[in-house]
Formats: sequence, structure tokens, C-alpha cells
Amino acid sequence: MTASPIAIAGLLAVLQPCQSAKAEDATPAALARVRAYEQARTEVIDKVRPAVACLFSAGSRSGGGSGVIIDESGYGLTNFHVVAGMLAQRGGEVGLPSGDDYPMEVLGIDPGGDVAMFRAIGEKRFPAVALGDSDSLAVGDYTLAMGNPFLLAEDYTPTVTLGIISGLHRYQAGTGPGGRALRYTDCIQVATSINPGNSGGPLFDLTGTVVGINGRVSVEERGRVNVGVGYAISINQIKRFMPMLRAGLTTKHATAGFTVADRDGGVIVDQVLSSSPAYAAGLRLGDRIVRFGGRGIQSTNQFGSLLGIYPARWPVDLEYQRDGDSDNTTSTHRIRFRLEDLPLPEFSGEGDPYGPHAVTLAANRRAVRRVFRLYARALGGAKAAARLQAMTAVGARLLSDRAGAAPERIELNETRPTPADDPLPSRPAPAEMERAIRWKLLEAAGGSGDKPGPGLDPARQGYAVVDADEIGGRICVVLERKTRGKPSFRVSFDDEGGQLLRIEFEDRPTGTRVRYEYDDYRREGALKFPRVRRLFVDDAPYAEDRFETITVKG
Amino acid sequence: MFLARLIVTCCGLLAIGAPGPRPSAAPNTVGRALQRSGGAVVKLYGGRIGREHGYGTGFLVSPDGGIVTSLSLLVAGRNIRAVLDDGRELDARVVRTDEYRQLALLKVDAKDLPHLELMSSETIRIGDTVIALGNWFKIAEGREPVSVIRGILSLRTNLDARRLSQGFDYRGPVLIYDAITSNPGSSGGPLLDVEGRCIGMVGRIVESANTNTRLNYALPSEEIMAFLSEEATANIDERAGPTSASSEQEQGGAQPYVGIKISRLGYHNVSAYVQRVRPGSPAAEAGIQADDLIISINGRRIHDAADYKDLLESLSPGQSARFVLKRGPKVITLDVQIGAQ
Repeated sequence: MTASPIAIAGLLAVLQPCQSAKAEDATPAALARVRAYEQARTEVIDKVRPAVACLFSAGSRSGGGSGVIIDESGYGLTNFHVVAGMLAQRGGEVGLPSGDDYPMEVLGIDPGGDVAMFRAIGEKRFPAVALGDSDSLAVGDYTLAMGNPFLLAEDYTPTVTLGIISGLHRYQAGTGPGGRALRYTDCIQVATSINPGNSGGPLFDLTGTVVGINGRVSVEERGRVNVGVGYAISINQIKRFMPMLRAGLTTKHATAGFTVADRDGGVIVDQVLSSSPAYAAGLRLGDRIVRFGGRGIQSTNQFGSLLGIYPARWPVDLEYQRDGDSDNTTSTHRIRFRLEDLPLPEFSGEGDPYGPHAVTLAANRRAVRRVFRLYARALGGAKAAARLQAMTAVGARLLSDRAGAAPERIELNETRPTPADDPLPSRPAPAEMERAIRWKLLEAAGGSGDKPGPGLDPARQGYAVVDADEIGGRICVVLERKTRGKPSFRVSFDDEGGQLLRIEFEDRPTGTRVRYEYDDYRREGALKFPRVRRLFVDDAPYAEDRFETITVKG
Repeated sequence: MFLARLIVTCCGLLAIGAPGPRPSAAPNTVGRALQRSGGAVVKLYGGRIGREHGYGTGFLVSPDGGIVTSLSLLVAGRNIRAVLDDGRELDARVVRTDEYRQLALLKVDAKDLPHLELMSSETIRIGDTVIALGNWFKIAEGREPVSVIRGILSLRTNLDARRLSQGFDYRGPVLIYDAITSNPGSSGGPLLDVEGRCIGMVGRIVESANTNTRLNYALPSEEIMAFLSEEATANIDERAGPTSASSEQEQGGAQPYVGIKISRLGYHNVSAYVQRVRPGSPAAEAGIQADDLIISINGRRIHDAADYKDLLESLSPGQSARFVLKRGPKVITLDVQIGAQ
């Protein structure tokens, strides 16, 4: 008898007595708890159900998918692959649990991330649900999936399934050349039953906020049905793309400008383009990636998965380590740089689905109006628009802190520019340009009411939504204004709150890029203004102004 | 906070970056169980053979690298890689296998590993929550945590798997539950109770040829215990099948003697409960008591009195036999010095 190579005898000694596992019969208190959970759950389902949509091609009920309305004006989210067949008409039909169907437009699309935005048309106020925070999810949390699997619901009443989160930060490779289409990056894996037809439908947490969009399942040879392994695109990823999706734009995902490899238990840079922003920020071959986008990096796969959650040109934080040349020192560096464009996946259908369309152009105009409505609201609420139109001047005392100079107190008295000031003087100084742009934005906000007068509608003043961005951790919508067909300036607003956060333009005489950023909004009488203004010249900090008092005249 | 929420609701907007309210309706018991036991789960990789997927799941049962898993073709392969929860990738070798229970014991060289303690599967009741962990579809790679699914225990029953239709023979107890674990890579993963204690192992895929449906089941922990307690001599070269155990002990005329009378209720053979222990017998000396339930002897599962009788005949006087018994809620192990009659 040879000795076992493993301490097997020890194994049985650790068998546990099972005192606690044998629960007593349910007590009234325990039963009451279970009933309370169940009631809370059914209440949540009742609350969110009206916003869960069935999507169909126009005039056809043979195929389709699901979606969810996230805004009372009818905006909704679904999968790109649900609307891919509707791109020629840029439209379809949407059925809601009320039993009604409505025409629907396909707005912006994200073919790389399998997301699309649509807009239901026909009601002043659609039932809508709020978006949640997918970063707060934990494995084991219960989630509800709602949608129309197997197109079961003739009356559009969604099917509800309940299950747990089986895994987080999962990666499911894309399809098509280079695997660039329909990639599920850093996604949510659920045991919640998801079947064909659930695609595009919402994944809710138990408070009834949308934490993901369901779109994919793992299957094997037995067929395309639920085997307890479904995937949802995290809502926090989608939020970064939403300013563009709402405006009817086709969004691109990002590439880093460098590649990484697993080496010595870490992740190191094994190729870097010398033309990339990351290189310009200091990253070099052989550097060890420690953190990316706020998350610790353990593997190449994980880095690749995380990269997928960002739109093209998104600003990201990166922490890397570099070994010293001679000694045994290691230095840690933190950089912020912009990612680069990943080419769009090739589309096999007819025509150019990525080009502009009457529907998307109209969507962009609506998005512009929305931004200025939000901006008016951020300036002080419902009555701000009227107040803005009556404004003739703004007085301010500011403390100006310029690079390399002593802080300076300045009294300002800005009067409203007269029509003679527009178009702008041919060679305005940056400060003059900034002032003119601010007044223009206030004017556009003043004209953003429900029935803007002629000439006041900001969407008719050359503004268009062109991009999304992140400023100070806030997701922004970026607008560009063209004058006489040429880009004149760009402005960025908080996509949810509407605050003006950035103005960018090129100083023509010198060719330098000028950027003003605004922060610390506070109420002054009826209106809210930023208290901090920072000036950057060619991305380098140049000055910071702190407004001490602001008074409004008129 | 209330005011902030109110404003947010009024605008129909949700502030970005603001931490969303945690779902409060149900406590995350699965997360707790996972935290407690997830560290002992191992992802296994090997060569792909035919339609058999070259990956699976196992779990550590000893701090020095003992891993139990199911006996898939993966285990038959030459190279088995085990990826631990902390991302360490180690070569695993097969210590022994059990063709009958479709179990395998692997070993990796490492120390102080988190491992699962087996718990009698009879401690949970029908309707109780069960949690399965596994490397299904190879979704998790490296140190990424394995997938988790929950369900309730639906039924304890006997499986009758036949080699012809299922690829293996197994006639024994299984735990049936309503979580889907019949996926590639799932088998060999632990089945946990709500506290995260291991009560079984997800079994190999069993599919009905008639209905194309699969059974979601686990081998109860008693079977794993019995396998682990098998004599160390029963190594990979002498696989213990259901019929291979006898035949060696024809020498001498003495009959093996233990001193137990197994209870017989009615006409049907029921579980092998000890009705009486003869004072002074080997069983009494080893500490076996009346009402003990014999689960296994030398790793062989004892289902009923007939099994006991068969096994007793295969023992030889002077030999030490390991009895796994259930006494009340506890599972105990006793070594019995077989006497002669």
C-alpha cells in the first residue's frame, strides 16, 4: 500500500457538521419578507413595463426585436442588429404594451457596439424609464430582462424573466472583418433567460432602472435558444455614445494607438505608433500598463475589452510603470490622452447606411434644440429663456490668474452684442471671440423654447451635433457652428445637465487652438453662471478666471 | 439626497456619475457564497477531442493542490492545464479516476490553496437555493472569475445513464435543480448551498435522444467523499469499476467478518442502515453504532443491504476497510479491521 500523494485522509476530517443549514419551516416573519420582496418586484415590473417596446420593420410582423423608451419624447434604445434591416428606410414600427403601435425612426447607430437609437412618433409623452449605473452591479444581483422573445406577444405585452448576474466585465468577440462589428466589450453576463426576440430589450436592476441592453447569448450546436448564458451591453458604455446616437450620427469605437502583450505576469506595450496621442503623452515601447480608465489591468484581453467601451477620440487616463535605465528603480507615470478612431465595420447591405439621411439630419436639428433647451434650464430653469432674451448686459468682477503673471482684479461690463457685431470681426482677439460666442449661445438658448420665433431657432443658425466627449468626468455633447460653410467654433455641454462646459476655436491670425472651460455653476438671481473659467492655448493651461460677482441688466 | 433625487426625477434625467441606488429588494446571497467559495474553483484546459470540448471545471479539495473534476475526455488527454482563481496557470496530473462515478482526482503542485470543504448533500432540502460555478463556454479567462448561476434543489433521484446513449454508465443518486448547467465546460464545477458550502459536483452532460433535452444535475457530495476516501492503491492503473472489485480474494477459507446487521424493512431493500452491532466485533471496536447509515466502504458507494453484502464478500480478513457513515446530520469516517469468521 503506497502512501497517497495527497493528504486525502485529511479531507474527510474537515467534513462539516450541518447544524445551521437545516432551516426550520418558514416563520411568519420570513414569509412576510418573501412576500415583501415579491411585491416590490411586481411593483417595479408594473412601473417599467409600459416603456418596453417591440420593434418591427414597416408592414412586417415576421421578424423583429425589442427596445426600451428612455425619454418621454419617444427616444429609445435597441440593438444595431435589430434595426440593421431597416436602414434603407431609416424607419419601422414600434409597438408598446398599451397595445398601440407607432411609426418609428432609426436615429444614430453604433454598429461596432451593437446599439442603435430610435424615436417613436405620435405621442406628446411616451412612458419612459430611467437609466441606471451599471458600474454599481455585483455578481449575484438579480436582474429583470423584458422584451418580446419568439415574438410571443401579439398585444406587445413584454415577457419578463428574472435571473442573476453570472459574470461582469465579460468579452464576446465581434463578427465581420477584423471582428469589428457587434463586439460585446466589458459586458454583463446574465443567467436571466434571453431568447431570440429579446434583442435590444432592457435589462433592469430591481429598482427598475436600465442597466443594460440585452443582445446576445452563448449557444452551441443545439440551436439559438437560452442556455442560461446571455449578454447585455452595459448602460454606462451606451451613455458615452448617446449624445451622438440621439443626433442621428454613426458612431465609431476607439483604438489606443498602441498594442499590448502579456509579459512577466504584467501587460506591457509591445507596439506604439509614434504618431499616436499616447506616444505624444510619453508612452513608450516596454512600458508596463498598470491602470486604464480607472481599472487595474491584469491581462491583454482585459485591456482590449475595456478599450471597447469608449467612443473614438475619447479622453482616457492611463497609469504605466517604466524601469530605470541603470538602477533598479521603477517610475510610475499618469497620462491623459485621446484614443484614436477604429474604422467602422464594413456593411454588407445595400447603399451606404452610414451616410446622412433626411431622418438623421432632422434628428440632429432636434438634438441641437434639446441641447439649448437644457442649456436654458441649466441657466436657471423654466423662466430663464425669457429672462435671457431681455438681458442687455452682464457686469462682473473677476480675479484673473494668468500664467506667469500676478493675479489681477478686473471689472467687466459686457453689453449685448448688436446685430452689427455679427458676423464677427474678421480678426477677433481670443477674448473677444469667447465673449461673442457666449452671447450667441445665450441667444440660442433664449430661442430654444417650444415655439422659437423665426431666426431664433438654434438649429437654423448653423449648429450641429458632431461628437461626444468627457469633461471633468461628465459626458458631454459637442456642437459645431458653421458660418458660411466653414467650422467657426465648437461648444460642449453636459449631456444631462446642459451646463456649458467648453468653448473651442482656432485663433486664425496665430493658428493656435484656444479652449475655454467653465466650472462651478452657481445661482445669481434668476440665472445660474459658472464661477470659474479656464483658458488653454494649444492644450496648455494659460489662465484661470474666478468670477466674484455677476450682475445682470435688462 | 432626497432633494437631489426629486430634482432628478422632475427633469426626467439621471445625474451621470452619481452612484445609483443599490437594488434593495433582495440580498445578494449568491455574491456572498461566491466570495466564500469561488476562490477554490479551477478552470481546466486540455486538448479538444472530436466533439468533446477541451475545457472544463474542477475545484480544489485540499490545500496542497488536490482537484476533483468530472471524468471527461479532457482528463484523458496528455496535457491538462489548471488555471487557479488567482490566475496562476499550473500543469495538472491525474492521480486517479473513477469510471463509475465519472470522477477524477487531479493534482497541481502548489501550497496553501483555498479549497472547498465537502458537506453532506442531505443538509439541504428540496426548494433550497443551490448555486453552481463553472467555466462554461470558456467565458472567463485567466484570473477572471468563473460564471455563476442559481436555482433551487428540485429532486433527489437516481440517474440511470447508459453507455450506449450517454457515453458513460452511472446508476446512482443525483441532485436535480432548475439552474442550467448542461453547457460545455460546466461539468466538474461545485454545487454550493446558499452559504457557499459544497454539496455536490455538476455532472457530465446527459441528453435525451428522444426529446433533445438535457438534465441539469449534480453528483451529491457523498459520492465525491466516497471517491476521495478510496484506498490510495486504487490509482489510475487500477480503475475501480463497478465489477472489478472482487476476484482477487479467493485465497484461504476464512470469511470476512465485521459484525453488523443491516436493517431490512419490508420486502424492499432500503438504504444500508445498521440495525445492530455485535458487541466485541470489529465494527464495535471501530465505533460503528446502531442507526448509522453506511454510505461507502473503501470508496465504493453502498446503496442498500445487497450492496453491503456484495462488498463484504470482496474483503479479506486482516484488511482495514474505510467506512463512511452518516450518523444523524454528521458524516463520519471509521477504519474497520476486518476479522475472520
